[in-house]
Amino acid sequence: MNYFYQIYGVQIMSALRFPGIPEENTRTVEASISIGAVPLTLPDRFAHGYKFQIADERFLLAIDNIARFYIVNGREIIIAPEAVAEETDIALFVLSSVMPVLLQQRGQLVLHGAAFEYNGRGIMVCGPPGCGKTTLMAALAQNGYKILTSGFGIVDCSAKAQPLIMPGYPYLKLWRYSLTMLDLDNAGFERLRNGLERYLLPLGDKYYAKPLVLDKIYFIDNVVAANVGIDNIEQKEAAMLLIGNSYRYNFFASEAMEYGHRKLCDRVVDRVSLRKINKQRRKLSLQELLAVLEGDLNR
Amino acid sequence: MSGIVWISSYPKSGNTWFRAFVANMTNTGAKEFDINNLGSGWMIKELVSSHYGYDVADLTAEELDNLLPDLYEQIARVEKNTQYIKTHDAYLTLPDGRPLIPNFRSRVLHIVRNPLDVAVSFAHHRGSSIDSTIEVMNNNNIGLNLETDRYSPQLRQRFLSWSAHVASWLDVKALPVLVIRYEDMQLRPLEIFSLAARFVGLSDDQRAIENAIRLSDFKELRKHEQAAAFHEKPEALSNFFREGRIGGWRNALTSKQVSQIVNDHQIVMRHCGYLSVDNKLIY
Repeated sequence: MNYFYQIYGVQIMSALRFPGIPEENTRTVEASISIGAVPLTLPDRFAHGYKFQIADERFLLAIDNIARFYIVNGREIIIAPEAVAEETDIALFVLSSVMPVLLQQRGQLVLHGAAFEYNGRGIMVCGPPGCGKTTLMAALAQNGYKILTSGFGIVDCSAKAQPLIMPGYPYLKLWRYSLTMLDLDNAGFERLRNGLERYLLPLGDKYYAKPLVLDKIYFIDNVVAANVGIDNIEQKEAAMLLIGNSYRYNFFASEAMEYGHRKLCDRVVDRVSLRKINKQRRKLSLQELLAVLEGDLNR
Repeated sequence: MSGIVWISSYPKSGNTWFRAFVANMTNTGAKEFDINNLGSGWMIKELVSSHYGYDVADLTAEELDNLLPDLYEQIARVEKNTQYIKTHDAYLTLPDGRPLIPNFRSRVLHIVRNPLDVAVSFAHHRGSSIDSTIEVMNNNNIGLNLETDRYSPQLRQRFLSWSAHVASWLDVKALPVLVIRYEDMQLRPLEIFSLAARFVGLSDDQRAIENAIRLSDFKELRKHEQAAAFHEKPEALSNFFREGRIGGWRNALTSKQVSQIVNDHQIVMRHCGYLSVDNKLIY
């Protein structure tokens, strides 16, 4: 049996079910996810890490006790599950660690970022894992904003006009500590995995399911500044920040891949307003972060 | 030399001081010394994700620990230059029997400091009372980033108690460990830093060592901290480098607090030369 989804704008036919993501009626297929034989190694690999190998548009990934994944040409994900693996765990890693690779192969710009809708346009917040992007999105949803994505943000630069920010998953992955900060009781939410105090917060009608023109990117930065606030960014620094916030920059393992990625970053620098949130090397409270962000948007 | 040099200690025992020395020894002069770019630091989760190719935030702390020995071995195998990594972990063994730090091309410089001075400095660092810090130093379940309800960019660090921490490193047989004392680093700097430099594979040129000692001096580090906020300083703290002197505890601890620390840690204190056979405090 196959399930049909639209994930980050890609029509997907999947042998694996993704709980929490609504199934699509359309049967158009741009990429497929199947269970099958996965090579143990890529003999023509030109780059590798401890558990992954890269050869042209092919990517091999092994996650112990979960599965081996083979991602091909941005169109195919083949999964060889390990006997001990739970299907929900396999689905989780497909969404968090395999989909970004497929999207990179499809020429999308994948950033450590989250995005929400503001006056009909997309606003993105970028920053390293753990800087509070997802908690901020949850707080924005509580304030009435609609959320497109969190964890990673996909920017489609294929059109000649303004880049688009793509909708991701209709839920947020939040740690129990963040739920507490948001006055939410974890008892009401499903755990992401057994043994992990991370929960799925469904966005419901606070999910924005269509691509939006990307208007602004805010970078949560740690520069030392006189005041907590928002600054403009010079073009050269903007390109560096985009590269610094790129999802797994080490996956661009050939000169051609790196060049292609830098071209995407340049396109965003040229067409999107880029701003920087100064944190003065301290963790802003959620309310402070919301206040500086909303203050800048409403200027 | 390649491989990994672990710079290991209980917190507030001179780890950053030695890292500053390494940074000054390896600085070719092309760049100014930067307290926020010492070239040695914690292992962070994002680095583990990059090596493994997937998001380790979806793993439990135990699953993540299981990845580390192989990763450290891989780093030691492939990196051309010596990798200096800071750790406050005790020498730990995973449930399957593997040591967290494998012996492949690894060596450990371990720094010990008088727990009486550690207690004062650590209390300041934690922003809490000396009494609660004394309790923490006698608790085997204390560390950094141990909370399982939130994401921390850094890996968890399990200190164990001060005694168990130091004893764990003193007992290591599987890989080379050089144990030096903070007090000796201050009292006999040229001898001790030269010994440590040789052990970790740095130059043994005496002038270079003297120069690096001077540039890593506590007063110099304080100057750097005043000029540029130190990224490793806890938010609530006014300054990371505070006093650093030997025997500062004599003006900060009550006799009851001293007795408690000695009572908690006397075996290891005696072994490390902080307590004489007739129970006299040495520093």
